[in-house]
Amino acid sequence: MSLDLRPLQTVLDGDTDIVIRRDFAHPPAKVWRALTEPQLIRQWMAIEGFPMTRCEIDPRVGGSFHYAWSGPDGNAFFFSGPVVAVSAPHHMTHVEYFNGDTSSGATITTDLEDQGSGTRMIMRMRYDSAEARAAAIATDMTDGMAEVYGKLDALPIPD
Amino acid sequence: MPPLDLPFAALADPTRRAILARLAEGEATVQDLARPFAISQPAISRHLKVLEEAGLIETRIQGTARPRRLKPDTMAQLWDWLGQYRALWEAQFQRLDDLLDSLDDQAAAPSPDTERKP
Repeated sequence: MSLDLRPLQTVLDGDTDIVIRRDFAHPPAKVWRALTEPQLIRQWMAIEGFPMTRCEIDPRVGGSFHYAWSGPDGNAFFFSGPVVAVSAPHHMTHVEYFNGDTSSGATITTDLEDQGSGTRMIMRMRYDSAEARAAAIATDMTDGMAEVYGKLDALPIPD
Repeated sequence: MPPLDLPFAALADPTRRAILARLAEGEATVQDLARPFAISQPAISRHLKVLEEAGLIETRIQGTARPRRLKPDTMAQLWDWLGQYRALWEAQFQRLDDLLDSLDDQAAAPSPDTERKP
């Protein structure tokens, strides 16, 4: 494990939630832009070897988003869903479906808190069930969402 | 499905996580495990079966006793995988850090925070 300069906190909360916390050295208004302007989103959400082929978001209540990636072996996938609550630049709630499967989605709540001159981002991903969360984690559905078993403290793993 | 799908699904249940925590202290029989939990031995056995099928634990045969113990290989695999996953996520946030550093401050919406950075 590498040491994080700006610690990333990731916790399994209850049976259905994953909570991720990360501090940034810039104010919420700026972080908000990076989260809601497609030309900026593309710059940090691209995955090595997986360019973003579609990046659209209408960050308003009733709006929606669609992020798609394609890989070297024709491995394409996308996340999409509705935006259900917005209070710029501090809060957004959206629902995220994987590859258009609307039978099971995660509700993602993103909060940007003022933290001195910076921002504390808290992202809560709520799945329909413990099984859905386990499946999401295990099949990379959360696409690079790191995982640490804070509440899942029963796992005998070294720190 | 990736091979880790089964262990993660098995870990979705809090009782099974508690059983694993108990086994982390050392091997235990069904009787040992049933004692601290308000659950019948058959119920414990069913949980153990799920854990064993998921590759998280194994059974040792000792005369008539069948103590269960953790399977270190799967634990190590899970831990490696979680580390990689975390690293991916952090790499993405570091790209976000870089992007924020490069963004023009005045282009951002006015912030109530007008203090200079120390």
